[in-house]
Amino acid sequence: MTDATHGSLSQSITEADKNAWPLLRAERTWGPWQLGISLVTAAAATWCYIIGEYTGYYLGFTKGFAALFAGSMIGMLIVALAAVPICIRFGVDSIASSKPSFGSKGWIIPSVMQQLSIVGWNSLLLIFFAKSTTQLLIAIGVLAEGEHTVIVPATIFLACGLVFIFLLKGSSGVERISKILVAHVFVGLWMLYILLSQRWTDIEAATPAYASGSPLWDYTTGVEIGLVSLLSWWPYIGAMVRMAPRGRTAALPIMVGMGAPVPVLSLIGIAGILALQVSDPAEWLRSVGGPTYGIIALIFVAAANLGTAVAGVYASAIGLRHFPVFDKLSWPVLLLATIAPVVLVGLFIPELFFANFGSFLAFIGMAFAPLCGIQIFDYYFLRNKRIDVRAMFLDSPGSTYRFWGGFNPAAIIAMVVGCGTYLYLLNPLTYVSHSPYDYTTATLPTVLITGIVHVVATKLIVKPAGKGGY
Amino acid sequence: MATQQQLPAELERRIRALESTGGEGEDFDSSSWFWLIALGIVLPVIALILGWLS
Repeated sequence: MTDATHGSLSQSITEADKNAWPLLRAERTWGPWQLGISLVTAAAATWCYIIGEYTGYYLGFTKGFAALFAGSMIGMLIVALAAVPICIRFGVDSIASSKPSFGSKGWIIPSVMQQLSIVGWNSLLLIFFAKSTTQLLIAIGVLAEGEHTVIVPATIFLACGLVFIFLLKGSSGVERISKILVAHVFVGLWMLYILLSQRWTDIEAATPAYASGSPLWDYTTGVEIGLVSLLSWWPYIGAMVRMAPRGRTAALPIMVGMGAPVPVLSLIGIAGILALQVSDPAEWLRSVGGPTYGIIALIFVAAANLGTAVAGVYASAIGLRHFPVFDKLSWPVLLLATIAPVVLVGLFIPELFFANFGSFLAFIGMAFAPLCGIQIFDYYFLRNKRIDVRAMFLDSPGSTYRFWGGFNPAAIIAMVVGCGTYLYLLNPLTYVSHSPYDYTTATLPTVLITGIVHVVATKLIVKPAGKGGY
Repeated sequence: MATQQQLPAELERRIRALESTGGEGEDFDSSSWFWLIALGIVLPVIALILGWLS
């Protein structure tokens, strides 16, 4: 290959990497290790602490880990079955993978969910980043206690600036930062060891603060927290797995790299809330191991959040490319547009996500469980894996995924029924549940019922009209 | 009858490449399904039983 040809190919890859167009096989160079490391870095952030804390409100250490682990791995499987096959076959992101089931305009529904979810998670991460940086500066004596009114917003700006710089070169920024920041996972395990070795007696003796009195309800809620936490990876996963060309080499990295780190690192949150009753990890990190350990741990927190924020903003930016108004923007301007809502939330309503994290998680379940159910049943049972890649990028009248005005009524009906099912089983605001939640969780029946409704509605409405390419 | 929609040249090139034989990536194979089921169903069930009994 000549230099000119090679240069042209590189430029083509770089451009495709920064928009929502499909990547070609030659451009998808991530092997299982690269994919696994990137997924670990995306999944392992300080949200694990707050996920662990919420589990620790209902369950002790061992039961909490078992429930969270089971829920997380099942949740990962659901996301993998929903989005990954289309993403990995055609080199597209999660939003594009929803077009065959939702329609050539209906993908706006998953896209709005993606943006809300990623803004929520990234805001949480950057607030953690700001708090941990403030604690770090206090720990090393740069800042006195109480002098942090300017530091928190300043660090949010700093973090957003770093994310912007890392992503200027597209997904290679995600890969580069992943190779460096994956080390934080081992620091996290080391922190867990310190916490367990110093506070095991307290952890063992602790009573979960909000235990309901029904061991089965508490256990199921632990599983549910794991399930919905991992459903949050739906918006992220497409942008990552599209860099790998084979399902064969992606399945294990997905399950181990993106599924397992959350329950493992959440142990820090479970142990923290049980032993120390402190809901903000940045506050107890120094007190657990002393100033030196505290400084290392706080650096870990900052690094972990940054790595995940990079992956989140990248996935979010690629998702926005599907909107015509964002398709024409230059990559740096698109990045700024993606980061701006996170900055605003972080600056003006930073405590909102901390105070309402449980409701945010349940919202994720209510939104993404039906979405996954629709995608799984659509791909495996209705289409028998047949996808028209060209139709995913067409919106003209008569194109395969145009349905009616660009929307698939079967998916919309199923989505409404799915949200209703989740709401009935578990109210996201009050956490009041109805039977059979104790035995089934809210997410699993929602996935199943949504999928069945989608199949029935498609057979009754869409197929007879000859729409959708079924 | 579908109305013709002009795609950007680069996108058109990519879609043609994907539509050609061997152009698309590979879906999950039997080995993938083994890991998905083992780690996404079997292991969680074992964890749930052990956790409940603990």
